[in-house]
Amino acid sequence: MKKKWLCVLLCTGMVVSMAAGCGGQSDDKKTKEKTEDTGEKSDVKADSVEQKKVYVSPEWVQSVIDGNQKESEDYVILECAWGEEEDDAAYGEGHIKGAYHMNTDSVESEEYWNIRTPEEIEALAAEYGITKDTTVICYGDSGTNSADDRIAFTFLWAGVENVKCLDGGLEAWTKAGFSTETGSNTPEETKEAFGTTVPAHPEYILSIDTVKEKLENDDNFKLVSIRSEAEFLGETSGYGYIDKAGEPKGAIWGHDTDDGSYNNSDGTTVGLDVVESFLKESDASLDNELSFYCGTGWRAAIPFLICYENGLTNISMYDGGWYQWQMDDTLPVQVGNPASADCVFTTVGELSTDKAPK
Amino acid sequence: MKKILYIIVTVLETACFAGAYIINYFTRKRMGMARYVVYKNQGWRTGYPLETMTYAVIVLVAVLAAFTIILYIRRRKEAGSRLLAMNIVMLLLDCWYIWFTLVNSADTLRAYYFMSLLFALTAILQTMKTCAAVLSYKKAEYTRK
Repeated sequence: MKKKWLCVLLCTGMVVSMAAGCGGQSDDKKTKEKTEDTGEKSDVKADSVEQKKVYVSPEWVQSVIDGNQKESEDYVILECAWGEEEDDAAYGEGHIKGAYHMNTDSVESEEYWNIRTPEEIEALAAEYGITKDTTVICYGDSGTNSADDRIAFTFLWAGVENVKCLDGGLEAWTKAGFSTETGSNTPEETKEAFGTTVPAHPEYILSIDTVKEKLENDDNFKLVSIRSEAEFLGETSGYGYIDKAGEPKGAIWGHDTDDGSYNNSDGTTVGLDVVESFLKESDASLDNELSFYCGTGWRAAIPFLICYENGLTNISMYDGGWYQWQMDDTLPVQVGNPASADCVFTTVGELSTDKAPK
Repeated sequence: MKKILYIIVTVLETACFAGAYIINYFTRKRMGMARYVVYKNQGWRTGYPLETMTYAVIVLVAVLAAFTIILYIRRRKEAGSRLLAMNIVMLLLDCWYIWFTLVNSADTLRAYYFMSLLFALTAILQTMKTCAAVLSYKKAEYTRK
């Protein structure tokens, strides 16, 4: 008899615990205002940087916080990572003073993980107190993590005029000896208008149709794959949720950012000369019209930002990347090194569906 | 034999519940998992009439549960507390499945389709198990008379 009732109680317990687990998503906006400052008073003065400069040093960021830059008047620091704040271990362990967590899902829509609609991005900017005149400083946990680059790119596209990325991420910050704080910061929504039409720079993103058309008809156009060599050669899709491997026909390889190819030994971002050397391997140059892409748009943001801060204007990102390309069976693809004789040219529909990494 | 089947079904039910919890947990914690789940959602949405299927399963569960309860009520005087407990668990699981499926959606909970499917399996298994127990109990009683 006791066993039977114990069984009933156990089942009830399971149901109740599931209910509690599922309900957890709705209260993710409950934020704690408490912030503990673990650092000491600082007064760092760093050289000012040009507005177009994206990758900035920890010293410069600290000098903004300390009120010693013109950007100190209106700035926002974003700790960029995928997932909700409570699931972001890096933010919980310690973040730059005053930084807000920004989930990359808030800038990407689910269909192709492309950047959300202008209306959604404008609303997001308002929620974080950002207008076109706000200096947006993004950072991730390390130099190779491109979450911050993805969000920085989004705000540049939207029209924010001064966007920065902490070069080397939080690793560089802590290595430089600057303090972090724990606790949660809640952004203050602005009622002020964004100040320009979103997107102010639609030319930064190429649609899949435009890419297709340019690959067919424009010899000066170079579609640059910022993916691993195995992904470029069609050995793996690189993603557990993408079954097919290959590249759009005509793409060239621009090396991967995840393997550190775009980082110096200290974790900081490489210069334009490195981008140029990667392009040269495929007989391309900085004079070509360049459109960077990767799987869904994170990694490609890094070479774009390097080119952007060096004043190049013939650059864009093909946001849909391989993910969107491989969804259309009619699109042309290459599997293998296009410079070699054994490269296979076919269509998406003919690709095998066993290339997701196991 | 009956006891072994009972244990197997109970283990399956527990596994389904645990599976739903684990999928939901990793969909929230791992970006790769979240994107895989979203990708599957999109495929299912375009490939199957999910709304119709959902309502069909809810109706099936409700009808099966009602049938089992009617059978049980007819025999409640002779039935022991074990059957009562099984009916209560069945009602709880069925109500949980129906509530979860009607209140949530893939827009509010990414792992919704996976979880709803697993909860449906749990509800159906428990309902069939209870129904079989009521029927076999009746048969046993009849044989004794």
